[in-house]
Amino acid sequence: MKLWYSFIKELQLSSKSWYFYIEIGMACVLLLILVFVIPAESDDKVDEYLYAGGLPRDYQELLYRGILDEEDEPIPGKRVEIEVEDDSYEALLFVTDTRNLYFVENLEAVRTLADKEGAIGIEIVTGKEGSLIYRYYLQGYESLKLKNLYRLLHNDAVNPEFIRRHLEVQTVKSLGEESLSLNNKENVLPVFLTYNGSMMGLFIIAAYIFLDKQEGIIRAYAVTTSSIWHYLLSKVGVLTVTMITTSLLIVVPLMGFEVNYLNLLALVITSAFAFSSLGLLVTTYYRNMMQSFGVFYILIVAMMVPSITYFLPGFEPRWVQWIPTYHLLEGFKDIIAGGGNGPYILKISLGFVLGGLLLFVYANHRFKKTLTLS
Amino acid sequence: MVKKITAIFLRDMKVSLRDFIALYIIAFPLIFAVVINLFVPGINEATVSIAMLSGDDSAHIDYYRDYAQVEVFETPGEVTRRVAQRDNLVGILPENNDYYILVQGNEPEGLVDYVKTLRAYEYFGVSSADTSVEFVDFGRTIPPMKKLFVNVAIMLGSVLGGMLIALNIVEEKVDNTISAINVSPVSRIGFIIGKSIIGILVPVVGIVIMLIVTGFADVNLIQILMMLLASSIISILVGFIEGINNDDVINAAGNIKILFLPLMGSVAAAEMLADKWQKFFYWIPFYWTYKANDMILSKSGTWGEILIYTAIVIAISALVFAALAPKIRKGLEG
Amino acid sequence: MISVKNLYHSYTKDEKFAVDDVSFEIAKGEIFGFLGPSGAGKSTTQGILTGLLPLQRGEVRVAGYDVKHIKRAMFNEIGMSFEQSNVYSKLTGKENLEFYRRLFDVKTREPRELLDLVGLGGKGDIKAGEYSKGMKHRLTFARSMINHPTLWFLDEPTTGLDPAIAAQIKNIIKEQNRKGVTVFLTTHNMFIADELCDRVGFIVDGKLLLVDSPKNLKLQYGEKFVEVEYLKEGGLAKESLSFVGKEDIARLKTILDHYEIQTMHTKEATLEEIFIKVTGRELV
Repeated sequence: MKLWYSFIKELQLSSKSWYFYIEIGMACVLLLILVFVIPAESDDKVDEYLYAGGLPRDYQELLYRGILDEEDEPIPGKRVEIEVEDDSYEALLFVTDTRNLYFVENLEAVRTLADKEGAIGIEIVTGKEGSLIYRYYLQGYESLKLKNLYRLLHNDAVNPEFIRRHLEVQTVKSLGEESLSLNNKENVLPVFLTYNGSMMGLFIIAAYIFLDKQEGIIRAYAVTTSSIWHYLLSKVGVLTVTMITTSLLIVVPLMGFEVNYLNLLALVITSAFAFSSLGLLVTTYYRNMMQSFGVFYILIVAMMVPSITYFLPGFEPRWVQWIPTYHLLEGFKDIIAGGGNGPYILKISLGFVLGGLLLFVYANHRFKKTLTLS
Repeated sequence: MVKKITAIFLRDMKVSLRDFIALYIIAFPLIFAVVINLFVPGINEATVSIAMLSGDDSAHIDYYRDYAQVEVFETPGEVTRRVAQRDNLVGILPENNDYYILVQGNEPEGLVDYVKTLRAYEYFGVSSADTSVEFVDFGRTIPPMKKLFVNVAIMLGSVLGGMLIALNIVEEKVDNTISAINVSPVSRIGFIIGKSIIGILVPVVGIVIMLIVTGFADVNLIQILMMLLASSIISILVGFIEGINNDDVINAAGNIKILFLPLMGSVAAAEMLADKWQKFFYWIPFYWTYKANDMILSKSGTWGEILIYTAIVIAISALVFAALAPKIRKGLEG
Repeated sequence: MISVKNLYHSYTKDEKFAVDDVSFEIAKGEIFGFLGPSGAGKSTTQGILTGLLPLQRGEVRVAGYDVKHIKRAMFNEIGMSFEQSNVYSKLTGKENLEFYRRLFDVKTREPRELLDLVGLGGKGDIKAGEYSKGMKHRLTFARSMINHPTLWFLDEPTTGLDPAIAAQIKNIIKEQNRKGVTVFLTTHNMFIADELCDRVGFIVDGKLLLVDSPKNLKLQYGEKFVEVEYLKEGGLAKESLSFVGKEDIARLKTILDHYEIQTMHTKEATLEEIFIKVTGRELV
């Protein structure tokens, strides 16, 4: 009962603070950005600029068809103007499932596009014995593996038709997880939920605590019948409520009923608890925000690393999985995708509860010990 | 005047070093630089990961190593367990004198297609040696991801400089020392300049070190410094406003967070959003700073372009200054 | 040194004046006490004189400068000791002074010497944040002398200090004044005003009611008494006799001639009593 009153009191206090409204305001801004600015489906087709002007005219058409690798119907070509620096050039555009192929009339234009805009530029010339040579204009930092792939894809050793047939007969076995396909908007949500929500608790609870320390509020608890852990848990509770509010504020308008809110809440609450407990523990080692700045800084940078992995699936060193935000991102991703991977969510939520509990108990112990010193 | 400004700057520096806070802010780009150096090669090399059996033919394994990241395991069970982990990795396992691809089920489609293509070429015995490809490159060794990180670090450094100013102003407020300054022969503008230097100088030191460490030592340093100075104006203004308006850390933290939104938004807009959305970001000085820094870092900007971007940043900052100046003046009256 | 004519100041920018038509002059080398209860307008007036508050209405000249268009150089002539100590708590006492002296264009005093002067000699290398209230106050006081001010504003210079240190501070003020420093002393402590000031001004509700020397005020408003205690018929008798009436003087002579005197005090009217008499207000 005392805990409840203490929680309500802290909640009232925080609802009067500017910070609470910043969080709400931020969530609203993010929501607006998600709704209006980020397109749901992006045109993620790769632009390739090719020049085959050195080849005989009638051969060019044949070459285009060969490169397009049409399966059923022929893809219609479209005459377009492309702007390069300040000049414009004629080009023939073919749009395939994955690529926008521009056959440009002018080699210099292709080179400039590759040079100045980092586009993929390819010049097709005839080599010895009349074979075709694909000359790629690269930036210089491309990896060897990528170059190997280009080398492999353009070869005279096998008929592309054979390759296509082989692709169709290959056996692919699945472990049965559902495919998680998120559109652009949805793909950003887990990042917001993780970093704007759950992880902020780490930093903000520290600010709250240091403020109270400064004002001697914490020490006052030592001479009341309330336990210090009531106070600490109330703070954690307030942050959790803030995080739930901001998370729902973003998720509900965007996802409606497509999300398992029970799972979402479980993850938000447990992770907010764990991160604020970590924040609590850090505060016991320092006297003010400034001194603890370095530790928070390192923690936050470390917690940010999984977001790189999140956006670049190819970059996924195994040690990243040791960073808690990795699982938080993955968990939110599952939930947003409606994957219904209940056991996984349960597992990480449990992990956050246990970790948070350990941190909280230890933080509480340290608070009691350092109370007279601070 | 110079003597007094120096005295004010040195005092702030002394206090900031004493709290280690200035060191953190110098160290920030440095740590960032180390992280960039550590990660970027990995990100640049990032490709598909494949799990295979160590007992397989070594030529078979080596074939995939040319195009992908290969992890080898002793038993099919281990491969399966590895595939079942959350990251995107597919297995290639033998079956009836052939191989099959084992996926978890939630991998991006393109990734599975990539591996299937490799399998097909391997089947027909095609390797990268059979190629009809030539490469011409422009001699750029710095990957775009690295440029982006360094650019963001430069901008963050300048924002942190503003934070440093804010902290020093908060200190003056808590100690109520502004009134003592006001009865000394230091002019208001002298005081403001003195207080601002730390917010420029400290990030500059950190950022220059970062540029050297990350291999950007050969960029046009004068252009970088010019851009940094221009973008510092907004950080300084924000720093003063933060310092004047905030007595407690939570609000300051919250406000800094508000500042990060347009910063990150500008980066995201410049990098990812279509042309038609760009104009919505024109009002953010960070947007122009980011674009200018990008040109400088890739050595593709002309002096004319850089000067125009600098002018835009300064013009936006001047508007902000005009709006905030009365508030700052009032706040410093003590 | 200071000339104030028809000074008005309103925080609300209307007719509610915190300072209401105040005029006075302070001569070079004078110690002028500005006395009044809290909220009377002392700090407002002093704020305007030192440029901390803008001059709204009236004419004010300080150390030869027109306060309407304040020149920063004016502050080379001025020293200001604040009522609320305001020093950088993250700097040591010595660093505080070292920093402050660099802000002036004139010759400044050695921090060590100043610290010794106010009894902080051994504490110069300790951070001011760790000082006691009184120590911080003394540091603020010491800082105000760093530029050899010719005009010295002191706001409650001895408030909150223990008596021995307060006495020390008073001696420093007297010493500085002897060297020609003009002092503008704001206080509600009538004893220190009485002891130090050449002239005092009483301010209440923004109005300056009277300016004169403590001596004249006492002559004008106070009677002098002598209180004697003597032994009479085995007991202790007590009488209070005026210096003015003839009868009382004769009576005093009689007592001195015939009884054994236990104690005898002359009792002047205090400045405080005079203040209450003049203003009808208590000094709180």
